[in-house]
Amino acid sequence: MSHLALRRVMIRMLHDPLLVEAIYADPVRALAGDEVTAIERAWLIATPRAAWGTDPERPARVLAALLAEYPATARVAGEQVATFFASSQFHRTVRERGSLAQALGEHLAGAAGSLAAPLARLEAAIARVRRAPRAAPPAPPGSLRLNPHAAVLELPRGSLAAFTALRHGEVPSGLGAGVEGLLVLRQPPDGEVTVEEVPEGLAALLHAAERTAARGVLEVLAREHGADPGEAASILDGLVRDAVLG
Amino acid sequence: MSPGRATIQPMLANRPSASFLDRLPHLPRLGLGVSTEFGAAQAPGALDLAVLRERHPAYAGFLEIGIETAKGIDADARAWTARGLPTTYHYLDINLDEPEDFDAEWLDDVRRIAAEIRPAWLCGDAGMWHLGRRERGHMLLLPPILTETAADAMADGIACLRAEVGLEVLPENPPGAAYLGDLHLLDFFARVLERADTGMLLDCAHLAIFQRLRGLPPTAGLDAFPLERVVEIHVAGGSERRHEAFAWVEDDHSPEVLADTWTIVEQVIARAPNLRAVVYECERNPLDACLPGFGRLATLLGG
Repeated sequence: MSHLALRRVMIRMLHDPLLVEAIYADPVRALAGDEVTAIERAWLIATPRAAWGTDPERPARVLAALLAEYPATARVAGEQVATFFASSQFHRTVRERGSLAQALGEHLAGAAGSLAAPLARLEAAIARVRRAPRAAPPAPPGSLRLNPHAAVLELPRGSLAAFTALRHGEVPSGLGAGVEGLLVLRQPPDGEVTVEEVPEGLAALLHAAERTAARGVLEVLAREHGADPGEAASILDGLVRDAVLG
Repeated sequence: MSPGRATIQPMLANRPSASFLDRLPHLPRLGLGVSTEFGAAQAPGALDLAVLRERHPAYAGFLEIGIETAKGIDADARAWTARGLPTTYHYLDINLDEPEDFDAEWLDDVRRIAAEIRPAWLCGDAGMWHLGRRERGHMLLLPPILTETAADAMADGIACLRAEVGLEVLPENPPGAAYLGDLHLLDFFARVLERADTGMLLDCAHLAIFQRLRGLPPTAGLDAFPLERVVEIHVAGGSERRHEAFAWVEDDHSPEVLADTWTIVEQVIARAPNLRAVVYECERNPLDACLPGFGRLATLLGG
C-alpha cells in the first residue's frame, strides 16, 4: 500500500511548509520514517515546490475548524496553537490514519501553564465522544462496558469550573488540590455532549467498565465504595438505562 | 420518473455478474443537468434550481447531488427529489482505495440516502476526500497516486461499493495541483475501469488541468482511452492562477469554461457512444451567467 503512504506524505506537505523545505533539501533524511520508495521520493521533488502552497490558507482553515472544539484550551495554550502542523502529533496522526482532533488535544496539552493539560484532556474527550459510532456492539451476556459515547476522566479539582468559565468568556480560577471525576456523555438523539462531576465511587466504577467487566465484578466494586447490595444493582441498572454502560 | 431509474437496482441485484456493457442499457439517459451540494443553492448569487427547471427544463434534466452522509441532503435537493425528478448521487466522503473507509455505518447512511433520492447511479471524484478517518476537519480532495497498484486498489473499492449499495459506481478523475505517479491520468482510469468493470464520469475540466500540468495537449491520451465506458461528463469553468513561479488552474466552477476544456468536451461528446449525462457545474453562479454555457452544451448534445 505504498501509494497510501505517499499520499499521506502529500497531505503533510500541504500543511507543513517546514516539511516541504526538509524534503526538497534532503528527501532521504526527511522521509526516513515513511514507507516511500526512492522513485516516490523522486516524484515528490520533481513537483514544483510552489505546487504545495497553492492553497496557503488551508492550514489556517483546518486549524480553525479543529479549534472550534477546543475553545477553552485555545485561550490558555498561547503559542502552542500555531505550531500544531509542525508537531509530531500531527505528522504521526496523518501517518497512522488517526484523528486530528485528538492530535490537537495532545499537542495543546503540552502548552505551558497548569490549565492547558487538563482542559485539553477534557475537550479531547468531548471531541472523542462526539465522534463515537451511533451504535456500539453489546457487551457479552453478563458483562457491561462503558459505551463509546461516554468517557470518564479524573482531572485536577477545579478543571470543570475553569472549562465552564473559559467557555463563557470569563477568567478562570486556579486549580485546587486533589482530583475530580468527570463524566462526558453524548446525549441521544441530538448529539449534545454534557459534562458533569461524579462522585469518586462512581468514577471508579466507570473506569473499571472502560474495558468489558463482569456485572458481578462491578457490583462488588460499587459495594466497596459504599453501596449496599440492592443499591449496587440499582446503580448499574440506572447507568444502563442512561446509556452510559451497555 | 425517468424510464430507466426503476430498473437499475433490480438489474444489479439479479445479475451481479453481468458485464458493464451488458448492464449499460439499463442506465437512463439523463441529458443535461446541474449539480449541487449541501447549502450551495442558498449561497448569495447561487443558481436557483427551481427557476432553472421552470424556465429551461432542458438544462435541468437531472440534479447531481453532492453528499456527505454526515450532512445529508438539504431542502433544495429534497424539494427536487420530492417531485420525482431524476438525480445522481455524487459522494463527497469516500476514499475508494482505502478498505478501512467502507464502514458499516457509512454504508448504511449511503443506502438510506440513496433510497430517498433514488439516484440513477453513484459517482464522484475517485481520490482522497478526507485525510485519515471520516471526521470533522479532515476533508480535502487529492487525486490518486497514478500507479498500477493504486488503480487496482481503487477498482476493488468501486466493485465493493457497487455490491454494497446495488447501484453503478462511476469514478471521476479528480482535480489537483500536483499529480504523482508514472501513469497518465487516462491510463490510470482505463485500468480502474477495466478491473472494476464499470463506467466513468470524465470531468473534462479536471482533465484539462492535468494535461496542462503535464505540458500535454488537452486531448492527449484520449485515443487510447475506452470512451465507450464514459457514461457522464462534467464541464466547469476554471481560473488561471499563479503561486510564485507555478502556474495552475483553480477548479472554481465559474461560468467561464477554459478553451482546453471545451476542446475535450467536444471530442468526448462526439466519440463517447454511451454518454448518458452531462453536468454543467455552475451551481454557485446566477442563472444569466450560466446560460451561454448551457446553450453551448445543448447545441453540442444536439438539443
